[in-house]
Amino acid sequence: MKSNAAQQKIHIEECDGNEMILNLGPSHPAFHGAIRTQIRLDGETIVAAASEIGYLHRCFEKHAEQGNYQQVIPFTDRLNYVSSMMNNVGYCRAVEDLMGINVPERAIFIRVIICELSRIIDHLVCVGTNLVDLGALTNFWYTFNVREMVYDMFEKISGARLTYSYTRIGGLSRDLYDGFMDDLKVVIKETEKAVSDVKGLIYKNRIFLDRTVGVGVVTKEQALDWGFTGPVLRASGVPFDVRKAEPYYFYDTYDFDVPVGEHGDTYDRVAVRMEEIIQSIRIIQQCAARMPQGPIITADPRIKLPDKHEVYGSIEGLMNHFKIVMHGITPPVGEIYSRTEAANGELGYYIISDGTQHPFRVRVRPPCFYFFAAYEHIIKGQMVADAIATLGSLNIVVGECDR
Amino acid sequence: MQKIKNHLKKTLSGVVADASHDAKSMQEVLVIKPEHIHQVATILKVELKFDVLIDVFAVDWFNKKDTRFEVNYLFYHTAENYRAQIKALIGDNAKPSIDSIADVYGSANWAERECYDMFGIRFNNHPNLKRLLLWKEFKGHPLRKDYPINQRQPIPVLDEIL
Repeated sequence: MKSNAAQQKIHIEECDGNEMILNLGPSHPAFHGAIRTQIRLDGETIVAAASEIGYLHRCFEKHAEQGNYQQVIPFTDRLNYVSSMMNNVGYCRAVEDLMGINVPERAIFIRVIICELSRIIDHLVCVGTNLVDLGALTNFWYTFNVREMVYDMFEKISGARLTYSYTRIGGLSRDLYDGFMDDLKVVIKETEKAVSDVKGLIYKNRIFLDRTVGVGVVTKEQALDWGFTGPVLRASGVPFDVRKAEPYYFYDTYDFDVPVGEHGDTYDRVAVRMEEIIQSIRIIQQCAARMPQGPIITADPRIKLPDKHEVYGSIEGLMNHFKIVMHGITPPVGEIYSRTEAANGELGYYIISDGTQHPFRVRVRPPCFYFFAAYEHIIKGQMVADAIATLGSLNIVVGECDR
Repeated sequence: MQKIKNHLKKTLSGVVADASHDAKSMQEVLVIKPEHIHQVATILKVELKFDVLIDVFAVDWFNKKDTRFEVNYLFYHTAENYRAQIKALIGDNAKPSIDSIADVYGSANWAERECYDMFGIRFNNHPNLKRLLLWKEFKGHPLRKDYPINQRQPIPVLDEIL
């Protein structure tokens, strides 16, 4: 500890009176989560920056190798805790594809609705907090009001407000509650209102434009080189969306657009997110109109616990029950890279099965990780206040970045 | 897509030990020797225009005697919507090392640091090969299969990072 302090002192003395070193984070309200960037300042201009992560590291990948396949689902809640549902869905989809399970249609439609609702709240949180950093506090209430309503819905669906663990391998843990569709209509209406309110407040706002246009520019080539995906990549002008490029869950049958930015600056990233909320609403409406009836979990005997009357009434049911409870789910030997479009970009799960009940390797491809890796390059040459605006628009969720 | 596939097979035929199509993951899987990785990455980026390196991660095949560590690279071609996975099997079990491709793909920088952190695989010519998620006093590499899950570690000290 002592030697570090001494080193730091030498560094500051080296700065010949004009430059100073400043720590952004790891614990500051404008830095969304425990991440640290050390910057060297000349006046208020950043001349050098270096980032550090790991404050929220809990070695998810090692934990995942300890339990069985179902026990990984609660860990995935903690990845991107702003939109946990999408992590649940991404993981379950990976295991299902590895085992070749057909998920019932109703479960798929419910998954799409909860995913798009999660995308909406994730974008609302990102835009809301980003605007708070810029001093536009009112928008925060508009966006977080809607988020609160969606949280209430999710609470009624799954029993939890943040860490849902709602999906199961092969389907869902429970069906939607009565009156879900009515709540959904209200939420959609309120979301549309909130989005138009926020748009009205910021799009022609002189202060907002001055703070965001041309700030934190990421060119197309840079974005691709740094491995960006999701809204941040699309704001730079690349129309890559896993939902369109490699459709899953009938996304090819929904009518929706992929908003694309032009300049890759903070303004574009906010605007792309606002537009994606509208597109998500379109998907939800089509999905709700087509919602089929039926089971919510697959009947595949390899993963579904048999009904109670079968367990008590037949030897096959009893044996199957015992087998699943004692031995867990055992996918065949193999590897899969399954990806879904999460709120921040491509969320990939690389799962390797060695045929036992424990996953041999679970690798998460977190979209935020690559945003934050590039952050130190993006902010070079900017003002400190612009660095904060840039960070907010990248939407770093540390639970996912550090895993 | 077919054009890229043929081109991929033609240009990389000398260095690829095994090639297959993974239907479940919808991508080509190419197995190479670790000494070719920089050459392969350059070909993929410059000639074949795979513009995104999606991810880099390692696997510890604890029971395989000759090639225990494997580094995987996931590439994506945005124009053709096409994916390729490169598997580099590292022969040296005691001191695993492979060339860095951080100068070809910017996203490899932190991803390779994470591999080093978690598996102890050294990336030669990496611009800044330090631990990423863990602190520098940490002993061992936690995602190796022989690392016990209840291992205790020294208390971290704040590090100078700039």
